[in-house]
Amino acid sequence: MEILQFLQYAFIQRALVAGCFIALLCATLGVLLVLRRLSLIGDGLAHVTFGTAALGLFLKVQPIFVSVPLVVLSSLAILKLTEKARIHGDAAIGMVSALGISVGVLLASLATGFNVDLFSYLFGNILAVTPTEVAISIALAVAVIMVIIGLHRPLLSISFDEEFAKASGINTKAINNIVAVLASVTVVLAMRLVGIMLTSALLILPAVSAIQVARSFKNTMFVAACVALLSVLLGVFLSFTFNLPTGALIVLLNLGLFGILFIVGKQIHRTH
Amino acid sequence: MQVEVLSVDGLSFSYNGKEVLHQISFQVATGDFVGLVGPNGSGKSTLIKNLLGILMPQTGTITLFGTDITRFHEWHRIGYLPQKLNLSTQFFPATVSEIVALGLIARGKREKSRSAEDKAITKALDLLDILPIKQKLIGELSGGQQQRVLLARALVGNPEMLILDEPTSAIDPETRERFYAVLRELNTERNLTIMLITHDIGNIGRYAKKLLYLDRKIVFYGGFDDFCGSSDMSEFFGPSSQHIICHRHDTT
Repeated sequence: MEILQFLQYAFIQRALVAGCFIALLCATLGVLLVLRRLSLIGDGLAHVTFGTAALGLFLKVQPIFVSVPLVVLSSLAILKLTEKARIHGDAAIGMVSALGISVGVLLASLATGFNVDLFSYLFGNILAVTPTEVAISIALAVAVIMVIIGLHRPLLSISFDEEFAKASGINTKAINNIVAVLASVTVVLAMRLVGIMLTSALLILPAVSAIQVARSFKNTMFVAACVALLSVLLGVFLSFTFNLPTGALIVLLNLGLFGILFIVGKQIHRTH
Repeated sequence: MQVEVLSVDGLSFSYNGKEVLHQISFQVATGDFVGLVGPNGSGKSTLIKNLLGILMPQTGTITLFGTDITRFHEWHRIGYLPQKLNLSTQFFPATVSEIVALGLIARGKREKSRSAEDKAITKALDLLDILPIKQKLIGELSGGQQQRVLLARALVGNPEMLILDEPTSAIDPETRERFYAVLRELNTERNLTIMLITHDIGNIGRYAKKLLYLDRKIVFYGGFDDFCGSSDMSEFFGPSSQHIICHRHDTT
């Protein structure tokens, strides 16, 4: 009865719909990033998102419209830096991430008045998501998931063995650019759900949880998606029921699910 | 009749102005088993990357199955086993079947139906005696089994030529022997053309029919009998080095 009542609120419906799509997106892309040891690109891009969200608020434009193109450009800049400037990926992520934070702090100090809004982007507030944001989230999430499904074989090939992928004729440079763009879009969408500070957790945790128990690549994607969906659905419900921050709850639930799957995984691997 | 599979003519290649390959010319025919040896930094991997189209020749030409490499599209005719994996496979959540299937997405190869694809994977695994591990995770296998899986990935598209870049560098001697035996069988029974980069000069003579010694330029290319009987080579390498390559040469 209480659950039915809970589902009657429009803002809850919006939060659940947007949250589920973003969760699916984070889970599938997260598997690819984790397998390629690029998990922290999510963290770096989230910091850039802080700067771009501040810029959006400063310009009085909805942050998502400023963040998507600028974060995409930042991710491509990370790739270019590693290619051209004798810099390893982690250092390039650190540089671009520092730029994002600096711009954000600078804009926040220049313009007083939007710090409260900026705070909501830092820690997420899916319950306050607008219908426009839901529509954008669905459209972008569907587009990204379609790309991942369409390219799953080349993506698996590059994740497993980039040298072989190149020799197979896969355009690894183009695929790496596509992954960077997908990661950017995902990070921007996830900031509404769990906030900039916890975005990388939503990319990493469902993937590493799935890896504990999965028995194939497809299975890993499926389990990661289930973990992410479950954490979002439960997180939104508990957040509403107990008046607790949604983003933090979602991440803590993910950590709990990781613990459970870690134990289950030990049993599964013992039998194989 | 032997048909020319690969022809390299006057190939040179430089990285940042430093020449790594100088005027390389050689031919490989159907059924050849070429051992490619040379010291570290001699250009072996660069040569292989040129042959696979990962790098493009700066000067000179490469012809694959009679077609210039710039116009060559039938990459499925060439199988490749890289030196080593770039990441630890220990936690990689993919089955043997999924990994081998990656060999079917080579350039120029038409998509197969799911059942045809499964048949090709089963055939490749059966050929290498690893069919029972088809559904195992790659990370659950021993180093030798993993290497066989990667060989199955290279063979699943039914290539006519196989290029291997130091495939046995990370496996124990016993597994290495079995791996070489599989290669010899593929070469003798299926007439598969093989080009093998190796540092294992003590064993290469037992399996390869030809030796290509590279040190930025070709120092020697020809049959083992020619190499072992050459006084020039004896002078170049010193008698002991020549002996290491030749002493276990088994022509059977």
